Amino acid sequence: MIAFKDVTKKFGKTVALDDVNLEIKKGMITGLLGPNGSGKSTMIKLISDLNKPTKGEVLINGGEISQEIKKHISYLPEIDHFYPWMKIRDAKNFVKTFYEDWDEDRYQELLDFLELEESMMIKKISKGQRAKTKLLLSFSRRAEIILLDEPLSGIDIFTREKIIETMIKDYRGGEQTIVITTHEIKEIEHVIDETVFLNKGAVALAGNVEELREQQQRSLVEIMKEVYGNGKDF
Amino acid sequence: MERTFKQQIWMLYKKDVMNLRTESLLLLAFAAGLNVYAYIQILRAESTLNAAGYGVLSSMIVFGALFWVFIRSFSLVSSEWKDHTLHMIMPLPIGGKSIFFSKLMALFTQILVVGTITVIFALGSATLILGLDEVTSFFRIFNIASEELILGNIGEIIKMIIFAFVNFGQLLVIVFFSSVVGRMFKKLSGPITFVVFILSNFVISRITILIARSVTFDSQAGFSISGDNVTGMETTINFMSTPEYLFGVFYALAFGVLFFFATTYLYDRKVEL
Amino acid sequence: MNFNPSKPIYEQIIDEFKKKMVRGELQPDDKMPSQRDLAQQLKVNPNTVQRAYREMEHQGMTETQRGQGTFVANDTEKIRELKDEMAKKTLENFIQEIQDLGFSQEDIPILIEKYRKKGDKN
Repeated sequence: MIAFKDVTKKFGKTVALDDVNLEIKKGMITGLLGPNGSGKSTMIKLISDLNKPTKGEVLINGGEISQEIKKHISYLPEIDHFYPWMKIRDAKNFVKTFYEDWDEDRYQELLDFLELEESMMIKKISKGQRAKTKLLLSFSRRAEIILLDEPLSGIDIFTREKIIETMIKDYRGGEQTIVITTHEIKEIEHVIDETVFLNKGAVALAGNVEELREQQQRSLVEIMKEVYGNGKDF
Repeated sequence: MERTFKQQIWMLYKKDVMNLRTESLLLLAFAAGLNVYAYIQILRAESTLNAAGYGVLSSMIVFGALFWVFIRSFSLVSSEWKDHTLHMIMPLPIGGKSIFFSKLMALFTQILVVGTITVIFALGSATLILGLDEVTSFFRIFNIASEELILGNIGEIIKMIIFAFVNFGQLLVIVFFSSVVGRMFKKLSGPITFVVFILSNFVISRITILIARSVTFDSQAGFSISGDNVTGMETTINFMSTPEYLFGVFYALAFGVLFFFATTYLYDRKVEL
Repeated sequence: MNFNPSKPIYEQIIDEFKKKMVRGELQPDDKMPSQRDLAQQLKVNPNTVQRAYREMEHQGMTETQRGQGTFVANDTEKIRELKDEMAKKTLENFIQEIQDLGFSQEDIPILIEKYRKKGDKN
């Protein structure tokens, strides 16, 4: 379980998160949804230790984020984060060295499934292929917590489907926690268990997606439109 | 478990070496080009470049290359931000000590490689231009054979190399420290890095001088060589005395370690994307 | 399979299986697809599929045999019940919509008679 306790995060004068209290359930896929600047990416970065809270604390399984806990977290950034000289093979060898949960068989299988080659120079391949490379490295680990920051943004529809298939392929429900930020709600509404709508750094609505559909008899997109007024940011 | 830790350090080191590789190769190509240029110049009949001039030029190439390595060491830290690779490094289950240790080792490797190769370039082209006799005579500042000069004082030479390395290491650690401090600010991180670098060096030198004043060194204990140089003038080179040497190495190491831990502390606790 | 985004997905998965059982596409004692395969095929969260399977077992539609997987329950009575229940649901919807158009209850058999033949011809 990932818990945000009274978390405020400021960047200079900009308030990215404003006194957030939230629990992200273990073993489920949680979608952090909201327009740009709503704070969803900041939440992911606080969990992956790239940012530190200005106030409050982020706890994982009850403990503060430590090196021990970081062993079990797999983080997929929105931005391309590989060294310019890296081939897919180099990136793999790098990641593999630091995480004991690396699964070589799964890596080989996903490499095939995502139609990637180890000898590909990451800097030189297409945007979609780079997105798939990031996914490959994230999901080749049997990590307890997988954080995906905008894995679908700017990606063509076929690649998106491939990415979603990769997410649910071998997903170990109940054990693995996946947190995904996106504004492509339609693409993932069948995939997420829990949703958190963020608005201007605060939680606007959080709940189980199936329950929300049951109670409101509406789609997530419609619910979201209500939460954000007209949803014109989407 | 321990084996994995070593593998992790090795992987970080390899990564930093790879980051420095292209630039080192370019630097060496440039140094080689300059040597070739000097060679061509000197082959021209009425060249103004003589043995001494050539000596100055080739040592300038060596020192220039080393200076370049030092300047670029700032970017070994800041490029992690600029290239977004910090997204890869910061979530790793490994602390700042390993990350900066491997950077330090990679830079030492670069200095060693660039230094050695540029010296070989210089000596090699000097031999081509001037002939082996001239080159060895260049070293014959004193009326001692060059082998004897080197082999006879090997202990002193090693001491000097260690001294240079420790001081260079301290300098690099201050580069890390000031870069990390600079990165704690969203704006003006470049100028802040520069100011912190200058200030840190200033503070260190002030403290070292203060302490050095309170200790008196026996200046006569210094090791020295003297004799006639090629021009026939009497010359003396003084090496540091052992206490002076130990003092220098100790303080460079002490400040190096202090700033190293300060850097890793900031990286582990304070630094953000 | 296309999901209606305003209804719970697990319910829609159950409905799909009900249809298959009623039509005879799934016979008693037939093996159900594995949850993992189904999730992948439908591109839905495996937790949702798990919920649907749990619910179907609870309703007596399926049985799980340890180590062998999930099977359609050998219960013809249950399937008849399902068939009846689905017919009821469909008709209720139909009647509601016809009435919304302004027809009365009595018009319904006439309308059926009128359009059933046409439907037969096509």
